[in-house]
Amino acid sequence: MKPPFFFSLLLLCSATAVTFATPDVRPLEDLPIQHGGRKKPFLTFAKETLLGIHGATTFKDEGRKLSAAQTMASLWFAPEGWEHKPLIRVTLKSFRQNVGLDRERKYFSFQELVGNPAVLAATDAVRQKRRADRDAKLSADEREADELAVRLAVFQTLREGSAFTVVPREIAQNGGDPKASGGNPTLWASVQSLKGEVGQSGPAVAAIVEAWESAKKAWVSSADAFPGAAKRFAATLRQASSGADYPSAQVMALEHLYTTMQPHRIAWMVYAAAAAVLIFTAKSPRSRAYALGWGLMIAGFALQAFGFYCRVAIAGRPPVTNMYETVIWVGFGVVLFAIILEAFHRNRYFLVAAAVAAMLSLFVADTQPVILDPTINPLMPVLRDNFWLATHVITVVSSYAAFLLALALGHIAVFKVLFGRSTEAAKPLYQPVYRAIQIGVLLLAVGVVLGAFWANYSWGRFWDWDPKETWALVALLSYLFILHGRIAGWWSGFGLSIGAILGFQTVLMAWYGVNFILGTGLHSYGFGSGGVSYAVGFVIFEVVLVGIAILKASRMKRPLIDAPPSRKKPEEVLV
Amino acid sequence: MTKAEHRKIVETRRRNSNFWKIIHWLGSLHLAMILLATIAIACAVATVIEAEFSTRVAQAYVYKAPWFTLWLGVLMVNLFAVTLTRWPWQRRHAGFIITHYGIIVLLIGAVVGQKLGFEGSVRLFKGQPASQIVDRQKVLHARTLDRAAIFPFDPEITPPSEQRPCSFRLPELEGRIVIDGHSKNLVSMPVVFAAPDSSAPPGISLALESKRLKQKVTVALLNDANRHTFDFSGLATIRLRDALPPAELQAQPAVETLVVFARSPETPVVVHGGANAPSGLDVRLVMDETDKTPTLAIRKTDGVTTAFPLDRLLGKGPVRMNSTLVEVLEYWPAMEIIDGKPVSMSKEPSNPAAAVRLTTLPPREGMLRPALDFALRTVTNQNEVAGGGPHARQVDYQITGLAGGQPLRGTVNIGQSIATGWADWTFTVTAVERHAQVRSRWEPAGTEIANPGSAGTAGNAALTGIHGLRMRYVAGDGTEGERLWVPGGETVFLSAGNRVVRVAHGNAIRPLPFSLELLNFEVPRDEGTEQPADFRATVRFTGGQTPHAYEALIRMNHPGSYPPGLWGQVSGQTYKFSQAQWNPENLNETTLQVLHDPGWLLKWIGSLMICAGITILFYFTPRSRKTTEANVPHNAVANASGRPLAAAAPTTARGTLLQPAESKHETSVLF
Repeated sequence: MKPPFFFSLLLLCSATAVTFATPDVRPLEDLPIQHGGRKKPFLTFAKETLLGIHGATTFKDEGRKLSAAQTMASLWFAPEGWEHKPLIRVTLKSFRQNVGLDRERKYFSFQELVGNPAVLAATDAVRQKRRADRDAKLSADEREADELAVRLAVFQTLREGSAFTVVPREIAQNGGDPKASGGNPTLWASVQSLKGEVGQSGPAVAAIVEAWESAKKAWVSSADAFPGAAKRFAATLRQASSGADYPSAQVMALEHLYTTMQPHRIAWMVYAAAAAVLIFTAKSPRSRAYALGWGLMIAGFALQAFGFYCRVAIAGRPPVTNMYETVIWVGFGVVLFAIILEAFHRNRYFLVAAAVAAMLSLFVADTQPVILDPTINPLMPVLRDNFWLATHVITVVSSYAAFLLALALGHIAVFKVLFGRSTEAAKPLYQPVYRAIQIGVLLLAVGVVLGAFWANYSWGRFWDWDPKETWALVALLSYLFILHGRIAGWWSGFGLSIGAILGFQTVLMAWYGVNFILGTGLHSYGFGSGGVSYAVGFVIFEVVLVGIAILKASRMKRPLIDAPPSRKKPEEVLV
Repeated sequence: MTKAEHRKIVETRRRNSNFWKIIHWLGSLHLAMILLATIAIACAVATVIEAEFSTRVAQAYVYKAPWFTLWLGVLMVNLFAVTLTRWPWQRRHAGFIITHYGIIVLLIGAVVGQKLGFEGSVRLFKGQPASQIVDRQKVLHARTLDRAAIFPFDPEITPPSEQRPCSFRLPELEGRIVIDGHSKNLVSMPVVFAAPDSSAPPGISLALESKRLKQKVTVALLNDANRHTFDFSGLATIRLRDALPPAELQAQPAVETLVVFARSPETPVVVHGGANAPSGLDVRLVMDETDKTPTLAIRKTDGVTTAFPLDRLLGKGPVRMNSTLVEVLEYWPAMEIIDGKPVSMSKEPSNPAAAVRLTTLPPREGMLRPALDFALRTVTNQNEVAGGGPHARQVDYQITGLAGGQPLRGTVNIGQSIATGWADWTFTVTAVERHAQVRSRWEPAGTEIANPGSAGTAGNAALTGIHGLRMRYVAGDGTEGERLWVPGGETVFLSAGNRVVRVAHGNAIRPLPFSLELLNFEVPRDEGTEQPADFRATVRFTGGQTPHAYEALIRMNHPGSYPPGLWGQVSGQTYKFSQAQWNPENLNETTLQVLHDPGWLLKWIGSLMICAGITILFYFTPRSRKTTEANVPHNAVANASGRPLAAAAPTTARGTLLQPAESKHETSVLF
């Protein structure tokens, strides 16, 4: 079997990645830390935080590559000098130019940024604009300034140590001042904030502070002593927090495993292998290679299933709540539908199409963490209903998956026409395309209806032409148009394949465009930015591809748009 | 009945009956295709309109426009007609019928909801029962002495302008209301009006404007005891006077420098000044007996003494004492004059002395700041005032305190703009009255809203005001009233001749047959953050047909219904309250969305029918294994080409499902 091989490869990579001079921070990685409204392992916190301020999960420090955990541990135990390291990302070139930063550099130090009056003026201006009108539309530069202000604030809390909230409030309150940390009764305390309480509060606090201090000393003096000191610090915390609502080691270990293993990343590699196996052995229909392709698809699917299990277990809710999750769910759904359909039809096309489509969607999700945020965050209140979330959102996103499968199958048909001699070659694809569209139409209809039910049940109106729901309707109508046109005899199998490709563009708009391009409406929890040029490029590519295919098909001897001669009265045949 | 027989019946009646011809035409697939395409395109365009303009505009021009409703009506007819063409229905039609009727039921539900239901919101404050809600519809209310009229009117959708005013005719020949302006940024501004009373003081209205700051300030001045001066936010003083003050009177501050000695307090040495403006202050240096610290004691002419410890003044710059600035320039504990210069011989206070500078400001406050003075022109004869002659509309002005030092004088007409010389501020005299009174008046703020018709293009940088409309009343006999800006939500009287009408515009208010009161409101947060995790409002309903008060917990995703009871909910007779908005600054307040929708059940049933119908259509429709050539035209084509289609499919083993020809056949029998 392939997966173990990939596994071991990955483990090997992660083992060799540990750098020489920086202390080993692995004992720290499982340490529970309160961040972003929930408790998570230090490793996850480190990755998310570094991604937030640096735009990547590693940091290159004077030639050495530091992992996220190393970077954060260094900020925690030796914050001196970090304000001069180019850690903070300024993404937008135009913004860099407008505030007089070096246009060609992406990363700047805290000192460089706060020492620049134009940067501070820009962040101040956005804050004021926001204060005046909470829903004010921001320009690209203003959005950058807004995000930069957050990055600077986060850096500040890291440098002060107040970001490292690892001590449960219950312990910190033992004799200490409950209002010490801004009066939020659920906010955990940082070790730094407890230092002043030593003496007044109980022995637990003193022990924690003492353990932290010795870890700090170890960090500065010798890299070898640090892991032991860090382990003692983590143990001290866990022991002191036994009465508090402290996450168990198993829960932390699961999230740690999910974060390091990255099952969705392995899955796209496995799908890539499956695609390669299935495509290159296509000439021998009933071979071992076909079985291997099957096996790889199942393996990738199982990896994804495990990944979703982790996300559900960590977050305690259905796994489809933001753009990243929808993208990986679409990869999952494509494979699920392909496996089911392939089991019935055994024509290899479903598996090939799904392997490529799933690989691409997971690849995009894996490599674009800034656009597609993989962090697990608490949901906004309106989404906190697991029943509707599980039914409505999963149904709709699964319909996208079915349409993506139809798109991939449509592409195979188009390529067969483009590179084939006759349109006959594409014929075996028509039925699969139809099958995939069927699933999509049914799921999208059900999903839209469930969305209307949820809206009607939860906050009033059944349907109000919100952009998200309108575009879902537009997508549904487009596919109904494609299906009805076939019944009317306006086109047939090849037209259906073309329709699967063009119809998906409306899905793309409903899925991505509403949130990232239109940016209005009630589904505001999904808004994001980035990737617009890629999306537009994709649409243009598809339209051109379809145009060329139609042209080629119409020039082939046998017209491919095989309109029936009895076209004038199509209804007759329907009765 | 076999399929062939069924087809024969349908074909025969279609050939022989005009009625059936029309039914087939109405239910034609071509029409359906056109409907699908146009509705999809219209919706897509509408979402772009929404992103570019606003939700209300998109709704007015597409979703809720008459043509769109009509189009949906055509869709219903098409759906209904196509089901008729299959009559008598057979089992294989089940999915088809259910799906298409599902859409019809859904659309009927939508019509019922639109006609009989409504949607609004209610803002609740703890301890304040509410019994009316704010509807989403925008209206104009007009009320004369004995009649009231309500007109649906949304200025965002039909923006009124001077070129395209909107006119609303009141019933019973009571005239009309003409709206010819729309602003999103009205602010209340003071303006002078002619007073009927001839003893009233003269007054002027000014508009001060800065293009760079995008600010406009309106000032009303009356030449009486209280309102002749306007403090322009510390920047300058603006005054209306009987006559402009002579420029010479601009006194310079008087400066005195003295050296005071602790040992001979009565005889200070005046180093400089004192001749033209003696401060009249008695300044003494006093040494504390015990700790030997020096204190400066300053006694004013009225005998009041103020004491400053010297170290608080020394080297600290001037300190203000009433209209005098006191500054200690130097302190010598042991003063001696060596080579004509004072020096201190030691730190021991053997002969303490201090050099003190007193700067006496001119007696009139504000002389150091820029000032803008106005005076009405003297009018020699009364007819000129009445006739509004040139002098009646002119004002003399003088700007002093400019950086150049020289005052700027001139005469300005109403409407003329003059640069003040302070940043880019200009002033415009907007009204001059010999006998004036001040009233507040709503005006669009900011220069960029100068043309209210194009308010949509204005930047929203300076939006601080509220939206409003400019309207006037035209009475039944044609008498035109004055144009007035009316802010949203306020009731204003418009008059024309001796007729008066009371107008207001904004969201329609809808009374509820019961009242509700917010008892408690909680916002639990995510741990360690301020992010809301839920919104929980406890609301008490009273009145209506329910004898007892009813309390409900309304939280996110869990709305409350009133009156309670299953039947009311099923039939849609209840009002549903869902958590809609909150105010982070006031947790004693929450906004609930209110929905009354008698059509909801039809919508749900229709939706479920669509889902069930599609499922049956796709997966549970019996397929006949055999098919005739007439049934499947594509087959005919394929066969005509003389190639067995099965050969094209690579995996023939699984049977007919994979054959392209079969797929055509399959879709055809689905319906």
